[in-house]
Amino acid sequence: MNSWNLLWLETRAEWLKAWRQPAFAIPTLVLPLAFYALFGIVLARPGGGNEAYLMATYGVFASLGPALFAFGAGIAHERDAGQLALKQVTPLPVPLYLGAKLLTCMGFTGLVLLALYALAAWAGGVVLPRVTWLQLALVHLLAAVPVGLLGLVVGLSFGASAAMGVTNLVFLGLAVLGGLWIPVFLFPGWMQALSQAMPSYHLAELALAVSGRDITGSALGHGAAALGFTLAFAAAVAWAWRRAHR
Amino acid sequence: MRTVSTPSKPPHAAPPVHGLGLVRRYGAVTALAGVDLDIQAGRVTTLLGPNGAGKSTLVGLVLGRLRADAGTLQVGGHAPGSLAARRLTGAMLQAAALAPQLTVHEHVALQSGYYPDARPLADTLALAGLQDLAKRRYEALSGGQQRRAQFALAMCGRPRLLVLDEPTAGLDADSRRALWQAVRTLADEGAAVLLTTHLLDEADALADRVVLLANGRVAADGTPGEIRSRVAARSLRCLTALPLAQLRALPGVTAAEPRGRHVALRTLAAEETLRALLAADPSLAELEVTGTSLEDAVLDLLHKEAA
Repeated sequence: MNSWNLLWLETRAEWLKAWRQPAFAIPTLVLPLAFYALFGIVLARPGGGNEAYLMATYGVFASLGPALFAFGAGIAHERDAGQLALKQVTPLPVPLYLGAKLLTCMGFTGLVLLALYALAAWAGGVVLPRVTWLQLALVHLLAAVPVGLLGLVVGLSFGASAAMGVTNLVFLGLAVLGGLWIPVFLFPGWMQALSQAMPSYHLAELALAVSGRDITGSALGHGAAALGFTLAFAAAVAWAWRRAHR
Repeated sequence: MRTVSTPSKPPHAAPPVHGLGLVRRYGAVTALAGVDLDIQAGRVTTLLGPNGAGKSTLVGLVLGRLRADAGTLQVGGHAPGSLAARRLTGAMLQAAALAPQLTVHEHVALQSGYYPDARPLADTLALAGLQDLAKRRYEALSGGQQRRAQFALAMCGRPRLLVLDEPTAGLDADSRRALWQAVRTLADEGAAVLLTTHLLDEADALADRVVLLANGRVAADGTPGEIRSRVAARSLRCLTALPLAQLRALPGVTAAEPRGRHVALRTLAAEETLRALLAADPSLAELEVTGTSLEDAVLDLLHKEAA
């Protein structure tokens, strides 16, 4: 069996695992939508000109849930249950195992994004050219990669209950300091400095740049920062994986 | 000229497991203190020993889940835990589980895809006795059925090395016997089976070879018959009024333990012991003399090891 085939089968299994746990999957899907509906639609000033802004940042927010909770904290649970130990002795190449998890995570993010875009277009008054929608979708989908890797680092480094706590903290940090709920330019100076250290901040700026907003710094710079975070998290996953072996 | 088709599997030069002078420490505790282990194809090798003897550590080394502090170890000529070694290995771990949301069929199909030369799915299910449970989710299986599903995953890839760590823990008598039979079939197909157990009847029923571990060393290594014959002792069982201390002082007696209403004696000189016993206790009743069971032999060997 070639690697692509194996990746497909493994991803399918991961997808079924996530999908057949509705108590886990549904909150992950609904939470970002509920947040967006509340802050982006119900409480937003109509005609304030910020419709696209909110959707760009909430799209990044939508990628946090599946990546951190379903797959990060999820792997900690699998490890505690003894599922990971059994996987580690099978001849499944490690990159395929983790790749399948990331792809599934992106799949879930894609579902949330579809619902979010529909909500934004119909009820949120967001009007964008078709190309911009597609570019935005690309940024939002790819955002799941660094965040998913970060989730795996947490999941591989802590036991299930500790991982849940740490994940909540990471989730909050990425959402608040990344400027996904409140724009970063409203923060005091020291908080703005902290934002620079959040991958979510750079991802949000990228999404804003794509949606035609003026941003602080260059899109290229934020892209490079996001890539840097991705590589650093990937290295951290490799390290955590070896440690999780025992 | 016609070409002769070569057999589908090339002859394997490297032994399934080849280990020399294996040492593993946990802080100040030495779990393995220099163990040599070679495992042959087509045979069931059983690691036997009390808790803490080093069985699980040795299995951890073979699977590449632990690293040895000293010594060399190869699995089919490859480093343990490497992808090449894992392709030759199937394993059933002690405290393991499968994803509860997937069905037995989904699990076996997925795992079979990992191996280059997997067994047909229907054969795997039949060998593990799971034909009727294929569509059931793992979470809906009983404890024993879950163990069988784990066994199916361990052997679905036709591994050259099958590692079974306490495979029958939690199984009822029927399931245990069925699993023994399946293990036998796999060994007859040519797999090298490495099995840990603390159940002596399991070792006696299944093993071609018993490796007895005690305190991180190999205390004995041979067929169950050889292990038994290394201990010339016999067992006596009787109903007697004599206190244990007096029984232990009888000629030839190495051990005396209460067994319900009876007392069990181990002796190296059955006739002398009997004569002395009958003389000392005229009320002696329900006397029974038996040969050495594997359990008795192992206990004697462990006793010697500790002395």
